[in-house]
Amino acid sequence: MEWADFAELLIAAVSLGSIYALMALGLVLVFGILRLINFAYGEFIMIGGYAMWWLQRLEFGIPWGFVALFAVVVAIVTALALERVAFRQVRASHGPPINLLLTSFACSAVLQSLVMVLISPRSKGILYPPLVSADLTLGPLRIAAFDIMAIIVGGISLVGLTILLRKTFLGICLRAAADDFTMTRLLGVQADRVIAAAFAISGALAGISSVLYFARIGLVKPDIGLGPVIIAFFATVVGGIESLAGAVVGGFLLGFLTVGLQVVLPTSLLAYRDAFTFLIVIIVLLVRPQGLVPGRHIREVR
Amino acid sequence: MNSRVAQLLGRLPWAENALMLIVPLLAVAVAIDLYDNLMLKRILIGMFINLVLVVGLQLFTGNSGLVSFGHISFMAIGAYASVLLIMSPAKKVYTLPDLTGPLSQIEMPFIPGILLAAAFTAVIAAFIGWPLMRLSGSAATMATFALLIITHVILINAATYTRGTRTMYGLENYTTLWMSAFWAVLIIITGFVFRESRVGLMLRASREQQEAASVMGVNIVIVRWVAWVVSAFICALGGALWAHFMMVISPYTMYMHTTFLTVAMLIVGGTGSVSGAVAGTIAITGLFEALRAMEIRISAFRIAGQTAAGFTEVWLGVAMILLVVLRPMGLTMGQEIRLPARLRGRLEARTPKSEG
Repeated sequence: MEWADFAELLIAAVSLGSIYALMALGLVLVFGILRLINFAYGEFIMIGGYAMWWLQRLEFGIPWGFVALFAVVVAIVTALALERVAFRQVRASHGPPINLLLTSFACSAVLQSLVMVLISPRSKGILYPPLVSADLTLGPLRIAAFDIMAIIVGGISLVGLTILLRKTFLGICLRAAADDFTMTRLLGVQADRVIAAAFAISGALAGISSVLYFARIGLVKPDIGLGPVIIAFFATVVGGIESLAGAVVGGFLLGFLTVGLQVVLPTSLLAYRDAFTFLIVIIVLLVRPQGLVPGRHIREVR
Repeated sequence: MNSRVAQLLGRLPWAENALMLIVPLLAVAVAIDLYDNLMLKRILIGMFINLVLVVGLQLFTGNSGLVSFGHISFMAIGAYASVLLIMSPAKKVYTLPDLTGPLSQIEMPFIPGILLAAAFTAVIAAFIGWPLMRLSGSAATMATFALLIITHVILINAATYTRGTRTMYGLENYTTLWMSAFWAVLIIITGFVFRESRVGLMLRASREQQEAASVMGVNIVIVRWVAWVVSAFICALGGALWAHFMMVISPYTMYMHTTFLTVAMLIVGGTGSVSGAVAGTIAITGLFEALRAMEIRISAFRIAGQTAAGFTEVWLGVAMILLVVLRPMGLTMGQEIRLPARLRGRLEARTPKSEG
């Protein structure tokens, strides 16, 4: 393989990895605090896609940046709304933690069927500016402009999130809550606010990744959220469900794995790619239940 | 007569709970069989099959405390295995033309066929479960979720045996009302027997206090593994029954949605008890059918020019969240259903004191 081919693959893998890392971060933020695998997370991404489609259909020729921003805002609002009407109520009823899981499942089903009934079960196309689908030529390299966009947006979001979590009061509260929620509450941090903030950031990450994700596939349908939620799930498990860095590691690993297996696996086995990917999940869980990047505290014994 | 019942209840403390579940279920089955309404019969058969699945799931999740998303893969394996064993070779030529060897020639009667299919699934589960049962908490849940996805991908790609993404058709309708009722009752009893068995007790101890149980000499991995294999057997039976009730199956019908629905039935009812699993199944089935009946009525009127079709799922989701908020410990609050206090008092008065 020539170095140019290799570089192209590398860029594709990094671009895919940044999207996956963003998706994983959104899932792990909520898990860290609530110990909840939020299956409705994929629906935040789905809603983001529909927001773009809806705005474009409403008025042709809206500046594209505005469309993308709208997707992020709608995803945040959806996340906050679900937290308020569903998760918070279930939390307040003091049931076993499994009830939250059921709630996330139910929310996911409700959103999917609402979209199916109110919009359409069939897929809808989302328009992106021609620049996104263009190919750039850099010497011997041919790079999709989209990949560059994904890497830049992903990078900026990661840096932004790091600053938010490290430097702001909210970020410190969030990290403290993920470390030891009871202690954080005893120190006077309001549980509802921290959790709402976690959902909002999770929604924002879902919104950003939906903009990038739909640029790759170009259309949105009601059950599109399952793919991203499985991706995020994989990345968090492999990277380490307790740590934010782990989610990023897991996301990039999955990006490289996807591109790599695509090249390495013979076509006859390509159909089994997902089976291989999830076999890796089980193996990682067995060998390192805390993931590749374990959190600082290994609290969860059972 | 009454004193003999009382004696039985004294010896088998769970018999009272089991009877409280089984008698009403059978009464409903008789009533609907006599009434002979095709739609009601189908709803009831569906509910009995769901009872098999959910009680099977409860046997593992309820006793071990580990949430499994993987049991529907056993349902799917059981369903496909039973089809391979039971379908006549003449039909297999059309539905599975690439199938060769003994599997293409075999034709078993229904009950031995589903039992063998379930046993086959249990063997697979035994291999998978051996490493998996070392995991606890969310790690176990995630691994079982990964198992569900892997099984789905394999079923879709093993087209020689499953027709892949295409629907499997040509199945006979063996799962009658009484066939499904028989298995549901048997599985409910199995649920109680397992719960009170030595392994069941050890498993429940490990659920409450993992460290304490293991200090007391409970080998947690093994007791979990036993429950895992038994519940896989039951879910495979459920899948085989379901296949020969629907008469068409595809990998998509035994995937995320079924997993969600069965887990939801269990959680809404309460994972801690067999009665909870039964109550949850009845409640969700009832809700679903009521909502669907309402939807059909409303659609006929076309309110505000918009059909209400498809809202069933929406309301079902909302109802589940409401149930969980209102009864966070489950419909039966983790308890088993008992005889009404007055009746129990009368029976206990007749129980010989020596039974203690």
